[in-house]
Amino acid sequence: MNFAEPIQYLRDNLKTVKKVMWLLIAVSLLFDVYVKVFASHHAVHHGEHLSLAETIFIWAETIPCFWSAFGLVGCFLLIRIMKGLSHKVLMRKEDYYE
Amino acid sequence: MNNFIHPAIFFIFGALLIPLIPGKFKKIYLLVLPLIAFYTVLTMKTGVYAHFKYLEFDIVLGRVDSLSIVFAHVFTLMSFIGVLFGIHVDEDAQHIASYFYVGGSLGVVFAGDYLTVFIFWEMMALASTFLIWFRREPASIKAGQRYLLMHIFGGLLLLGGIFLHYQSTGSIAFETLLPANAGVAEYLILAGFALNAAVFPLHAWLPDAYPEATVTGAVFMCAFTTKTAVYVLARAFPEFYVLAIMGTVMTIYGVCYATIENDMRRILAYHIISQVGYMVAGIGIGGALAINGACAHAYAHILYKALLFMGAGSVLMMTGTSKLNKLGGLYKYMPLTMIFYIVGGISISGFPLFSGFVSKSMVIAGAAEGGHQYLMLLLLLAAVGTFLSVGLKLPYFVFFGKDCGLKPKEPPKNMLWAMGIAAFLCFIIGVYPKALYVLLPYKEAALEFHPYNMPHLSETMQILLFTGLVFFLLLKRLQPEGKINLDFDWFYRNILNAFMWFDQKIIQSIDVAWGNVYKSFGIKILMMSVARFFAWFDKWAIDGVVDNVAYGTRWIGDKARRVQTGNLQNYLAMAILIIFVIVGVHWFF
Repeated sequence: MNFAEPIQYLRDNLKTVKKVMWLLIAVSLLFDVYVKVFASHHAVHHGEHLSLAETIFIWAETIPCFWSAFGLVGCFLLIRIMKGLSHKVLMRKEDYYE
Repeated sequence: MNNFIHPAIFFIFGALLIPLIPGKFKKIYLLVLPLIAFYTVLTMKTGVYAHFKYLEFDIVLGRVDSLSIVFAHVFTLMSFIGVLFGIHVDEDAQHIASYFYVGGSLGVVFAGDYLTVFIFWEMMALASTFLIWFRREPASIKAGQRYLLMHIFGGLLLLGGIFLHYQSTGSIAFETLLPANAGVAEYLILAGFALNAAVFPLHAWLPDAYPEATVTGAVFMCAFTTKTAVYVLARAFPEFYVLAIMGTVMTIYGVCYATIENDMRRILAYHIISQVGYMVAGIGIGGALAINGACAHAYAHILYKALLFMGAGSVLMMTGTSKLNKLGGLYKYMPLTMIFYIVGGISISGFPLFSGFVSKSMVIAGAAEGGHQYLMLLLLLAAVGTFLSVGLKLPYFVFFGKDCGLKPKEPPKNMLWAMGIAAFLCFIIGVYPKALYVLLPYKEAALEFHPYNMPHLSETMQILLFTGLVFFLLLKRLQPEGKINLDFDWFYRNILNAFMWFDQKIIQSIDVAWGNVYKSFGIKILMMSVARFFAWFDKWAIDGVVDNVAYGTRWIGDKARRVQTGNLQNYLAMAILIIFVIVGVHWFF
């Protein structure tokens, strides 16, 4: 069996694959709305003094699609900050140590 | 009582017999021993075995409890997969090195005292160095030397800690320590262990050495050194809060560097630091859930990380390069390798139905349960970076991306089988986590934990999908570059260089100057002046010292006379003479 064929098939239909991925993103967002709004019950925190992390933690449990924003912003910052740091400070030629 | 067979025996004594086995049977022999060792671990009963006294020390070679069994279980299983992956290698010495390496880590896992831990610890360091050197590239030789020096340094920290610990407590038992009782000795031991666990900032040896190891050796190395260190930390230092902090730092640090690296195996090496960070953080947080999480993650990690190193190693072996900027479009030629690699990639990223999902979430749940929200958020941020580098960037630029023009074949069958078995195990643990959870140290807590719940599924899917989205949006910024990035190895490389400079320039120039003096003044004058100098030195320095030593040692000499025939001064003079001869010989040759 040639295992490359199914992979080639997916590559030849890249537009469909992309559409499926967008659909998956939409489904995951809707699923989270369902989980947060209908399916879970949380203790109500009020009047207490909360640290930043605790506040974020409560947002994560109550705001729909919080983790989407977390993934989006986290990944964006990771790439931009580290690529910037690499180009400005850390990067050397491959034979730097030789 | 005597139903305990130490599984390290099969590897350590088995390694000695490898050269004697005739060619045809050698492969069978190499594969059967890990299976027998695995069987002995399966049939093992908890208890303390091989307990004896040696030079007043209580030596325990076989302490078997739930914590040691889970690590021995995965170590022996992994040794089979690793041997299968490297079975095509004809050089006996490579198999011997990996056998000793596995034997050393099993010795540490069952050790009940620090002396045994230390001996097997050093065995691992030495054996694994050979796995680097056997690649025989100039870069590998140098990297192996740095690796060995770092591990000797870590071993010295450990040994110093053990001595001080013995001095203060009078015991070398390897037991759980309480943070409140820990002093300098215990923190020295902790530092020695932490160096092997690649805890920041003692981590730089790992991404320095692992990319230079042999293709098959790297598969062993990624499994044993750091995870043995995780075991000893879990044994001795649970609930040390410094580990919770440092572990979380490691998770972030590893993914940050992996984002900008270009070498496949260096990216994976940085992800070892990141993943071991989860385990170290779990140990530092403490509590049944987090410790279970650390062990479960170690188990799952050994399998998927070995799978990833096998995939990357196969590409390196078949194409001759591991640089992302020189690879691309390999899906046409190595589709099976790609599929197995991607199983490893989605396991480490924590996709539902694969092993990372059921183990990593335990550590994160442990952090949340212990009230460490900051740590929990950072651990989840590291999960973003994991999927970005290992799950997307690496396979995209190796198997898709721009076609590099190389047309490699699939690797040999044994390598494909080893990858297939590891991939299958990653999947089995993902769909049937109970198989892993029954092995964990706190069984009740483990069986109460259910990773497949709706909030957790929803959270994971969102994080992964949006990481993927950003990856494709910022694809241009992630183009691999044929460069390297500075890390903490810069410091010790420069310390080494400074030492070499001191040796070659200062010591050698004194040597040369001495030679010039010798030439210009001629042998006669030199001998005269030397003779005069020594006469002066003898009269003023040696006589003075010796006389004082003589008075000071008369009492000892009186005592010693009964057992010695010569006098103490002669022994002292002889010892000093030998030191001079050794130094002299070293200087002139």
